[in-house]
Amino acid sequence: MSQFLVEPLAVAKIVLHACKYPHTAVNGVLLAEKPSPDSSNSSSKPIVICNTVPLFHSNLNLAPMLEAALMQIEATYKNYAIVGYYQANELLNDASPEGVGAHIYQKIAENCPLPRSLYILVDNKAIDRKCSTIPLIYYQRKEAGQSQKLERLPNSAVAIDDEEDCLETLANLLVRQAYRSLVDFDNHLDDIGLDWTNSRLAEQIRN
Amino acid sequence: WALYEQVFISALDCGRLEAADACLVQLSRQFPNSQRIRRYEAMRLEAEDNLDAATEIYKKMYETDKLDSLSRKRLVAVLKARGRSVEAIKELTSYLKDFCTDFEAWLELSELYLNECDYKKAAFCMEELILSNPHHHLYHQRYAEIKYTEGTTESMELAKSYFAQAVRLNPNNMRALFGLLLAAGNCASSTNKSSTSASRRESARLAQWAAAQVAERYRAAGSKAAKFTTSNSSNSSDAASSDVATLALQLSLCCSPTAAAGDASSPSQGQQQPASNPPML
Repeated sequence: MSQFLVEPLAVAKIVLHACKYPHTAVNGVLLAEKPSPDSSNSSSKPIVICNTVPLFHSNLNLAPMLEAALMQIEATYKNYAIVGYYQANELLNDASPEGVGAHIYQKIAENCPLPRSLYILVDNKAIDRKCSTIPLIYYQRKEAGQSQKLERLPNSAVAIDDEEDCLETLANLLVRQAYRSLVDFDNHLDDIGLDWTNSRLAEQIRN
Repeated sequence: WALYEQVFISALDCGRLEAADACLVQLSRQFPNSQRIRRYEAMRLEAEDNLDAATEIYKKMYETDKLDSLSRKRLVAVLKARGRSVEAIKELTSYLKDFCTDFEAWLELSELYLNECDYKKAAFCMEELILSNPHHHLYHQRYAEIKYTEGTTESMELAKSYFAQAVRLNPNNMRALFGLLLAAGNCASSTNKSSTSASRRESARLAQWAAAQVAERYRAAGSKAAKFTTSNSSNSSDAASSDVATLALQLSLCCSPTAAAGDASSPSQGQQQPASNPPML
């Protein structure tokens, strides 16, 4: 039984964000629906990651804009919780989740209202136009001990909802260069008229 | 021929090595024995990930001409591409000792230090940039962000001042406005012994002013979006912008409950003066 189920919209936004800025690192957060207070707190059901918010493509290390972004996300997505973090590293060969991203993820994990949180690292080498595989690597923090290091999750722990359809959609989006219309929080700060929730892109992806 | 150079570099960026090769052949024919073309050959090697050969060429070029700044910078780029940030920093620092007015290099060094989480040195690099160009709002804003990330009380005060300066230089810089709102909010609710109640009230006023500015910008953006979109999406963008506006005002009011309660007249004063300049610090 997998611990997480990632919806195609989330996968698409992560990969499009990485493709929009191939020369720099990008990051963002993962969203899942908040559990209703009367539902039983069953940690056996997979957590559904239904959406992501692309955050920055420059200065990922700096705190103030991250704080502003997280506050806006919490205020806008009232029925959703931030359950994870994703990052695509700058260098092609760099597949390390450590660094500032790990610190941000630890904070998110500490404040996550759901029983588990996820760190998704984009596998830069695996991104290609044919989209034969989902180019993502999954990590989670070890609960035991003070070290709080990240441990890699096997691919079986994270399922992609309707994987074949997702790959086909992703291939279409890359061919159409749909990443040009993706707006991350950095773009929003440069021009606040741009919609960082990417509602139009989400409609396109769903259809 | 400048066009050939630009197409060559763009082709390398897009991974179109055949196009890059075609340009390079033409350029080498036109300019044989040119140092510039040699550098392009090394860049071509970098593009195919043959970093050792590229490094050799750059080192030879530097040995023949000590004033060749561009090949030294490419060497730093190769070190960065290999993930050797510490060596890249060392190389770039020695480069900056010889060419201390190269502002791009200072900016790059600042980013390298940030990747290593060395905030003090990253701030030092930004200080050099501010000294060179004191009217550039982005340098002030970036310096303030680094100081904010450091997190100590003194650095938060500094962050507040530099965000305010960035806003004064460019009132439309949203990052500086958000930064000012957060930094002033943190200063206003600081429990440090060195902060007086007067300075906390001042910070609270500043935070409220920044919040009002942010709110105004979002309302303007929301109404602008409404003019160009259909009625459905205009409702959502209006709602989104008013959400942010109320959030900004709530943030400023809750940042210092004691200051806000004790000085009830100041919020109304702040709103009656929609000045474009922040209050003097």
